[in-house]
Amino acid sequence: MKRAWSADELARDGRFVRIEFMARAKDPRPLPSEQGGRRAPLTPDRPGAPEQARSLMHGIFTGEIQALEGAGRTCWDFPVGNGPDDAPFELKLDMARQCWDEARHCEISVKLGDWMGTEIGEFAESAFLYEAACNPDPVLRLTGVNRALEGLAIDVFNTMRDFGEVSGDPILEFCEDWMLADEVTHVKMGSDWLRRMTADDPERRERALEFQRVVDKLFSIGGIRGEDEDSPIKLARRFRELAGFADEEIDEIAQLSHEARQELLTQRRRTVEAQAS
Amino acid sequence: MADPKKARPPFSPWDRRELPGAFTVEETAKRVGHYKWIEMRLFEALGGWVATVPELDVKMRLGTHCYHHAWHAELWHKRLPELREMNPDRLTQPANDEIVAFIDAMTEPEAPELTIEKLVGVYRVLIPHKIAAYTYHLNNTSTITDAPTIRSLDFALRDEFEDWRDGEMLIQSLIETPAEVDRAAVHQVRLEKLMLAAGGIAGPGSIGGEQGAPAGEPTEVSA
Amino acid sequence: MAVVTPETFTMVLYDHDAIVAAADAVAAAAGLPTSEDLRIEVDEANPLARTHLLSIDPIELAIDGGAFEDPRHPRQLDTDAVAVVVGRLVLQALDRRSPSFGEPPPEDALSVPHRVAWDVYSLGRLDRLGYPGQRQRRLYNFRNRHGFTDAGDAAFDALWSGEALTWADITGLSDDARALMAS
Repeated sequence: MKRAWSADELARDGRFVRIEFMARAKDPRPLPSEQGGRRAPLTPDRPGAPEQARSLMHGIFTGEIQALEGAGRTCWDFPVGNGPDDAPFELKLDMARQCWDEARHCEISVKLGDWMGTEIGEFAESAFLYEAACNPDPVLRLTGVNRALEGLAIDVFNTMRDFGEVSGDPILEFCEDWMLADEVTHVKMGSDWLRRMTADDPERRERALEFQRVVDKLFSIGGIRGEDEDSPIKLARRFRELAGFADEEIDEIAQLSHEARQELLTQRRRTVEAQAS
Repeated sequence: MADPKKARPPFSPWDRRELPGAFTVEETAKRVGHYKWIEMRLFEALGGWVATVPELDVKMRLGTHCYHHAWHAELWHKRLPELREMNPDRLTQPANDEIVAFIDAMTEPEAPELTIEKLVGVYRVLIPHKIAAYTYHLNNTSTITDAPTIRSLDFALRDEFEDWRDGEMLIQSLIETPAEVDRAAVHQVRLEKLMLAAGGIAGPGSIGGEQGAPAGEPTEVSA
Repeated sequence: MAVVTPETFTMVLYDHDAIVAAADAVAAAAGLPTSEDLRIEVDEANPLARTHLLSIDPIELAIDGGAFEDPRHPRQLDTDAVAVVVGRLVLQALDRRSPSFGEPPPEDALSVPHRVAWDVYSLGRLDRLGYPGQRQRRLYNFRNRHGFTDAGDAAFDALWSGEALTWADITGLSDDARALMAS
C-alpha cells in the first residue's frame, strides 16, 4: 500500500456524493445576508432549526469519517523514527488511539442520524477536512488535524450540545458531550506533540503554526464558525482553553473567521456581477 | 478464627503454579520484540486501510482494531525494559526476512474493491497465527517468573479472539459469490505459504518444536 | 393543472416540466380535481426552503427555491421534494376549504408548534398515498416543538396516522403535548 492517500481517493459506498468545498461561493443565488436577511446561531426557537441541526449532524458524521481516515493514514504514512519525515512511536500510538475515538464518533453519529431521521448520504460531502490531513510533514499534519480540525469539532459539538440542552433532546446533548470530551483530548495531544517535535526546530514550529492559521481560516467556512453575534457556530472558548489554546490563539481564530467571511462576501460579489453581465 | 501464628504454606493448596518455563529472559525478550514488531505493522496497516475501504462497517471496525494492536505494541514496548532490554528498538525487529515478505504481501492490496483480500490477510492468516504464537508462549512460560508477560498475553489474546471473530464475520458477509470465495482462498493460500516460510510470527519455534525446549517440555530449573 | 413560474430557470438547474409533472401527480393523489389550476411560484434566487400557501381557491403556492433543491447536488431539482412540499400544502389548502375542518388562523398567524403539528397530519396522509413521508425526520422536528416525551410521541402517532382530523383535534394534541413539556 502506498504512502499518502489523496482526498480524491477516499473510498465511499454509492450513497455518498462529493461536492467542492465552498461551492456556495460560486452559487449565483444571493446569500440570505445579501438579501437583507440575517445569519443566526443555531437555536431551537428558529423555525428551521431542527432541519439545520440534521444537516449539521450529517456534516459532523462525514467529518468524523474523514478524521478517522486521517488518523489512520498517519499511522501508515510515516515510518517510526525521529527524522523530519518520521513519526515517533508514541505519536503513532496516540494516532491509533485517535482512530478508535473517531471510529466511535462515527458510530455515535450514525446513531444520532437515525435519531434525527437522517439517511446516510442524504447531504453532500466535502473532503476539506481530510485535505488538512494530507500534509507530508507529520508535524504540519498533526497541527492541521489535531489543532485546527479538532478545534473546529470542539466548536461544532459545543454548539450541538447546547442545542440539545435547550431543545430538551437528552440523546443529542448526551452524545455531543461525550464526543466533546474526546476532542479536547485530541487537541491537547496535538498541542503536546507540536511542542515536543519542534522544541529544537523553531522554524518548523513556525511553519506548523502558519499552516494551522491557513487551515483555521479554511475551517471557518466563510465565517460560519466565528465569534460574531450572528455566527451559526460559535467559537467554544472555554473548551478550547481546556484543550490548551491560549487566549491570543483563540482571538486570532476569531479574527481569521471574520476575514474568511469578508473574503466570501467579496467572492460572492464577483460571482453575482459575473452572473449579471 | 485460626491461629494467626500458625504457619501456612506460601502457596495456597489451589495454587498449582510451578517455576519452570520454556523461555529464558533473553528468549522472552527476543520473542516480545518480534511481537511488538508484528503488532506495529498490523496497526499501521489497519489504520492505513481505513481510507481505502468503501464499506462503512468495515471502515469503522478497522479503526477500532487499529487501536487494539497499537495497544498490544505498547504493552510489548513496556515489557522489553523489564526483560533487561534497555533499548527496546534494538529488539523491535522482524523474526526474519520471510516475515517481512509476509507483511509486504499482506499490505499490498490497496484498491477499494479489494476489501476481501485486506481482511483475509489479517483475519484468516495473521491473527490466527498470532493467537497460536501467543497461546504457545502463554502455555510454556513460567507462570511465576514471567507473570507480567502472561498478563499481557492474556489481555492481547482477548482482543485477538474478538478481533478475529469480528473480521471473520465481516469476511463472511462480504463474500457473496463463488468467485469471491476463490479470491479469498487464493489470497489466503499465498499468504499462508509466506507465513510457513517465516516459521510463524516469532520465526521458527513460534509454536514450539524448533528452538529451545521441545514442545511441551519446559526447561529444567534447579531449585 | 399545475402552472409553474418561472417557465425557465436561470440560477438553478430546475426542469420546469418535471416540476409540473410532479405537482400534478401529487395534487391529483391528494384529491385536487385535475380541472383546477394549481399555481406555483418558485423564487429561484432564494436558497432557503420556506413555503407559503398564498391562496386556497385557486391554490397558490410561493416556494423558496431551496425547498425543491437536491441537498446532494446543489442547484439541482429533487422531484421527491417537489411532491412532498406541494402535496403537503395542497392537503392543507383542501383542509382549509373543508367546513368540517374548522377555522385555522391565517398562514402568517400560525404558531410554529401548530404549524408543525398540521404538517405531521398532512405528511402522514401523504405517506399513506405512497410519497416519502420520512417519519423519523418528522418525529424529530415534532419532538423539538412538543417535547422528547412519551406523551409527545403519542401525540405524534395520533397526528401521523390520523384521518379526518379537525383543526381542534390538531391543536388539542399539540397543546396537550406542550403542556407536559412545561411541567
